[in-house]
Amino acid sequence: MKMRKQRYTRLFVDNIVFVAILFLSIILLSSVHYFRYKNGNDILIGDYSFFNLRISNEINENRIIPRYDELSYGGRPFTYLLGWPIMLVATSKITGLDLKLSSVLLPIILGFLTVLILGILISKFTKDKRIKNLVLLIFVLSPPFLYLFSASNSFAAVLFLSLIGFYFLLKDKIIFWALSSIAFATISFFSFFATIFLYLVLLIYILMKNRAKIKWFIISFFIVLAIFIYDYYILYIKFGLPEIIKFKFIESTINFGFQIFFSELGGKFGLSIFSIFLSMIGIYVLWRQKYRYFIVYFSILLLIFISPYFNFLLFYLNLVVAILAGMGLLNLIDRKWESNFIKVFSILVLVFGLIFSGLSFINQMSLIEPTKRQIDAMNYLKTKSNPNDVIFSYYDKGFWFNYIGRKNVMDANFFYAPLVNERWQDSLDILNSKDIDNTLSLLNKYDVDYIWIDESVRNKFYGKKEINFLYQLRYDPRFKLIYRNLEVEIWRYTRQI
Amino acid sequence: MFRIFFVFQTNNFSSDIAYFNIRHTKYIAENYFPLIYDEFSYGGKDVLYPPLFNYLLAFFGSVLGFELALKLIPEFLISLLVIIVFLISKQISKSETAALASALLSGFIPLLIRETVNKISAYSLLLPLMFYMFYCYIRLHEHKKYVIQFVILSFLLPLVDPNSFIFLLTLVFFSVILTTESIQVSMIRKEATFFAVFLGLLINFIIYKKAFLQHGFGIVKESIPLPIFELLFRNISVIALVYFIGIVTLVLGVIGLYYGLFKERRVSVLLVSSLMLSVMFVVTIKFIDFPTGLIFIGVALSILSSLTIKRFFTYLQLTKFNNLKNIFYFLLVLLIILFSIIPSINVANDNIKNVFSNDEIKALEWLKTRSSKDSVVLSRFDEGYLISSIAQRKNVMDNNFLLSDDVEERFNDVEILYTNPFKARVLELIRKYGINYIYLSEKTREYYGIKELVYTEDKTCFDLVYENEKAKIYKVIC
Repeated sequence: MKMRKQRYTRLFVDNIVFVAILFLSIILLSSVHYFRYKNGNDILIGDYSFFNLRISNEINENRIIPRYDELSYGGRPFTYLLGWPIMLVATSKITGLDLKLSSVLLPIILGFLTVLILGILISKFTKDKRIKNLVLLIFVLSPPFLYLFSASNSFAAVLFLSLIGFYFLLKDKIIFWALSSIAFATISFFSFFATIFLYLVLLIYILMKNRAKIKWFIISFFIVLAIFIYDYYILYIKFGLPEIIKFKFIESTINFGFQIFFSELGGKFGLSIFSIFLSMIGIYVLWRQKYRYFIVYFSILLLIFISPYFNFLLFYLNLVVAILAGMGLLNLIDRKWESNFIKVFSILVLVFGLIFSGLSFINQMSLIEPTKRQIDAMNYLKTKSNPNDVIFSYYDKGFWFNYIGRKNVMDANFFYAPLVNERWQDSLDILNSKDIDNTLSLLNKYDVDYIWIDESVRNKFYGKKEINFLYQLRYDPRFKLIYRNLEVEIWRYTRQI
Repeated sequence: MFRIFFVFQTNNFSSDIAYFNIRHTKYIAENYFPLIYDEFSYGGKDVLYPPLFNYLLAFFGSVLGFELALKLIPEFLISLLVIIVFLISKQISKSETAALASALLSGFIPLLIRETVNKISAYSLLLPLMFYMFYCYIRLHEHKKYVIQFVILSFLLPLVDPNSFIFLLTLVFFSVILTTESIQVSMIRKEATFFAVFLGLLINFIIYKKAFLQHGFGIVKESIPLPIFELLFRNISVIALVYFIGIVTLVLGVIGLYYGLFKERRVSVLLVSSLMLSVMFVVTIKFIDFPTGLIFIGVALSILSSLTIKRFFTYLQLTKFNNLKNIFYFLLVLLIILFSIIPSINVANDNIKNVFSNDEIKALEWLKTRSSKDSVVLSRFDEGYLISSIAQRKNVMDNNFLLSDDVEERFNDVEILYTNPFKARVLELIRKYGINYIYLSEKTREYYGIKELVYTEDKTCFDLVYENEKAKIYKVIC
């Protein structure tokens, strides 16, 4: 009895840092919402949160999955992946919380579980607890982790399912392989591209490291393929092929191009420069064993090149970077320095840099859209407009308009969106228009009733100038300014004067 | 003594950046924290700057009194550069005589005099600190005290001026050059480089967080907008370059560079040449302007000149002319006097002549008492700090370009406002910026080549509310 108690006590002491990091992850993720609340901003972050909340509301109220979305693009087929909204509904039912609070709670729970699974996985590969703790610490302080598990988005589930699937895959019993298949197959209800990417990585892993599981892979792959064929065949039969996106769509942040990789340089959920540097040291450590870790080098290169086009891959890249950074930091701690004085301060600087990146990102997250003023404007619009009214703005606001029960002209759900290329071009034509007749004909084409211009739209298209469409709004009598605060202007468009 | 002689000839200062520093120093003295939002700059914007220099001035200001401290401390600090150059030169050349000559040269670089005498410039602290860190870096492996000093100063350097970035770049270039030359970089130097670079990055990310988030690496472009960068390049000629560095410094420095790099292959010379390389790089990417870059190059050349001087006198010892050594010393000093000290005196005199006059200060003080607190005052961009510091009113533009999105547009608009004779166009811009007063100094008239503002003949729109010998102030009444 005494020995059992001693063993449990030792287990606890040995894992106390791990437990502390788990709690830290909850604290950091919660602090994002706390600071948003303190700044008076909505607890939901970004635009997809509102989309997910709306869909989960519809599912919850109607108890069936709708077939037609009347609000998006002025009306379109319901072709969305429903994994995340269904999870939100389930969370709400289990916890008794409303869907909005569930949108906050669910990502935090998944974040906690992700860190737990990651810790267990690392323990499988190395007995050195220091590596595990350092990797987890770097991971929970990383901007992509903080973003992913604060904003209500399906990739929170994708990353969690990826890790748990991989955990089950490493076990030796068939039942766990089956669970692994279920986990990976479930990802297809959250993201098509993430599923493709994951199976590609799994294939490479199995071919290089674990050929015994090739049969499992083929079965699992065919299950997912069957799911895809079933889903998309039905869509194809009903609606034909989706329109191919002809416009260049790379999610723009403040700083375009390679700077999306760095959170310090304005990347929406970029990596910390300090963790990137530490990961280079980690690669240097691995490089001593050259081709043994070929899959790591290949994954990194693949992720770096594709991430600008599929931003969600940054979350996977972050995982790899965190692991390598942990190895790099441990290498710096363990190696012999000529000056112990410089060693201590250098490591402190790097650790502080990681902490700064995380805390700074939390501060940024507390301020990003939607802000209080944008929410106030949305609430005003909801009271003043009718359910069938159409609101026009840049596409990245579309989900908000749907959330308040109004139609948009365009939003970020391009898949099977009606005339998506034409709408994209027309939106840009309106926003850049110098010809009032052209503006009016396009607004009439989409039955636009209201126009939303906020700071982000101004910065994207006009800077500080009153030009093009803004000028038309100001001086044409068909546009009436009905609401204004420091960030948002709402204009009513009347076809006849 | 040389500097103090000139600065105490006037109560005023010779650049508007001095007034920026005065304002921020006094703010720190009163509030203990730096001013992070300037309601006067560009009509109101965030201000990002490393505050250590201002904290130091605030401290001495509270001890000695501001009038004395603001005149004395910057000159005292920059004077330390002479001692540091002596130490570095002695380390490089192993000759006390050569080091003394180098130190003398460094004390009289005309461009350095021009940019620091009577200007309360952060370079007064940046340059001695940076070059002392180079000295510590060279001697890292000799004694632990240099390691400790290097580490401590690495925390302080990024807090002085954003151009401390040049130091980090120098260390990186130095490491790269040594690697490509297959010269072994000692572990202690690698560790020191690693530490200084990451600490510098961290501190700069903390200070300029907003600017990095807004502009990313484009922050480099935002440091000096294109029209102003071109303006600084406009009057540069080869003769001017030679004059402002000092021909003796230039010639001896270049010869020293040649010998140090190609004949003796000294690591310390590689470090100094890395500095020159990094300066040329940051000038090329327009992170700093060319005259500023020349200051660093001038100091570097004065250090390298010690190699030439030592080599010359060593060679002389082997010849028949060894007994004429003292004459050569005298000739060297004479050359330094002729080509460094005398030009420095001229430049210092020019600085004092071009000081902001009492009349200009009076005009701005009048503006402070007679205009409403939210008035916007038009001035040239390099008088903007005078408006915010002395008149304590909003300016249209000043030298603080970071976080200002429309700097080039403002620069062009200000030029139109001072040179365009047509009232309609001028009024459009006046309304755009909400200008209430137009400050027209004699310097502005000379700069734009105008005698008067033609449109101010319309008395229904522009009222001349103040006038003295050096400045006029018009109130916009329509």
